[in-house]
Amino acid sequence: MSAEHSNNRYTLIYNGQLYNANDIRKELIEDYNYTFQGYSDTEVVLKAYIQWGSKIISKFNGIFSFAIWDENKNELFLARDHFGIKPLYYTIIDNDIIFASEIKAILKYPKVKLELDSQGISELFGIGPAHTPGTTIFKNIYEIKPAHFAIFNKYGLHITKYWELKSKEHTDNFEETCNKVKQLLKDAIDRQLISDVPLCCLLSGGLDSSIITAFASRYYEENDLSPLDTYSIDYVDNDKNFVKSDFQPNSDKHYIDIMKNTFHTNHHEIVIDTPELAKALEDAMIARDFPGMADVDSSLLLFCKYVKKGATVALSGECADEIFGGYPWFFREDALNSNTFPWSIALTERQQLLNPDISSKVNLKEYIDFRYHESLENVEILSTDSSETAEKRKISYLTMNWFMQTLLDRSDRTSMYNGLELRVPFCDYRLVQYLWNIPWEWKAYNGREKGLLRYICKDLLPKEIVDRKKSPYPKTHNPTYLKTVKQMLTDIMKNKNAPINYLLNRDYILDILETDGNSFTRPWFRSIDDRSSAYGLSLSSKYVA
Amino acid sequence: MCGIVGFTTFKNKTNQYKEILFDMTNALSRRGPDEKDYYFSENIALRS
Repeated sequence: MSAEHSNNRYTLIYNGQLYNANDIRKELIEDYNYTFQGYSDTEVVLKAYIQWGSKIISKFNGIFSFAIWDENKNELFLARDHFGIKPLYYTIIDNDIIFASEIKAILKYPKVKLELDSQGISELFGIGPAHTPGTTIFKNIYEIKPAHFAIFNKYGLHITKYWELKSKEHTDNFEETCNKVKQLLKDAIDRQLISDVPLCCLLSGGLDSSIITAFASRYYEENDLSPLDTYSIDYVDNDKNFVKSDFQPNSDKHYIDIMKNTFHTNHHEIVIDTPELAKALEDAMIARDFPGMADVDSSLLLFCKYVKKGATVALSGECADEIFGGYPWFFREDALNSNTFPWSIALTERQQLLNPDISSKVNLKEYIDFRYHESLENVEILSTDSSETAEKRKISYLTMNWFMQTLLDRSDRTSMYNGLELRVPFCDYRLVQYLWNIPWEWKAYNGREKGLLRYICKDLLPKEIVDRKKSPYPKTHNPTYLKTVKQMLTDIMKNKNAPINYLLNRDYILDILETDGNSFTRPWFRSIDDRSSAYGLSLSSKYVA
Repeated sequence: MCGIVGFTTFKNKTNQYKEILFDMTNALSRRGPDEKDYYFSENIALRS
């Protein structure tokens, strides 16, 4: 979209949604005499930039990744939203910048080479599926970091951070805090319910998605839009195969039923079987352009595929755990003492997985340590912070910048692979900012994970949902899944010259196959199953090479 | 509107910018319908 202003021409290309477009449009019309052609948020972004320049970006409440060309200055402006919900990658070749929403598009520009160097290998096998902000595993291909904008002209690239979480003393009392959080949450959800295309909520019966469903359902009732469509995912025979574990204490169906009966949603249950789940591993990797979270990715990808048949926009409960303190490592004494990313502890196994030639050139522990400490330097601790608050700030910071980022990338890539737009109300930057400074004891109210969130929503939801212990994203427990990926990996390994052999330790993989995964003893990443992740990563490595 | 692509042409001049933009946008086709919104001028090529 182009617009002329003050003898200049500005051209915008944009991907995203602006949830406060109406407020900004109003101000531009009333205070600055702009005229608008219609109601698109694209036009608001362009004219807001024309009026205020880069200063306005931090006030955009939404998900976005865009570029604006200033004809007179011959200058390119690139920007990405506060949390990097929408992607933006780039490379620079001979003083020209090439950028795109996904790496796969950048690869279509002639002269772009795909190279994996030792840093890329350290990223992939040491940090993966997370990544160091600003980087990709490919040499010379970068991303504009969340909350950053960049200017590119004939002199080169200049990157600026436009927003970050501010640490300051929290002065509201407990009751005021609860009211404010509830109000911010409601506002975020209500804004994100506005859509001129069919919309739905993803509902697992867990606290987070149930909260979104509850607010959405109420909004729908008040605006005569009922019934609300909700979607859940399950796997063939999961009830039969479900096995309780530390990470996953209950299966979802029971809670989904409670929710759909309480809120009378038009509920759709998507059921997936093993062959499809295994086959989608490749699609999931293509969606990301590099190895990700194995079946945790492929199941969301399939979920989005089926949701797209009925809706174009879906609201997801992603990010509540990060901002309200829902993960086990927020509560574990040793989380910071481990001196590394608390969700990713299988370091020895990761190093062992590498081909000996490569393993001798790459020190994963050293690389991870470097990135970990580099990241912690950015955490703003106040002199008034208690040692527990300081510790929790660090854990929260790491979780948001590394773990949450990986899940946000997953959400965008797998949903957009199917043309479905996923919205994440818990990532409203005003809500995240307000929560950042709330004392830890309040966030963990009643000694529970996400205690504050449970407390403020207790009148909104059935008690069983409010009290439900956190359960991660639903995984398949069907034993045929492991059998299938084991076979897939076995088939790959039959070829001694398959690219995977350059990257990985053939003997170790064969050992994993022979012992049925038992020689890889600890989770690769959070709850990604040790065995299936080993298979999954090996599988996807075949494509990287 | 679902994906953006572009490149500057300060140094790497090309007559193929339409084709390159098309290839790049095509790679993003799964993200959704593209706007077929092109912009070219002396030092830039953009498409969404």
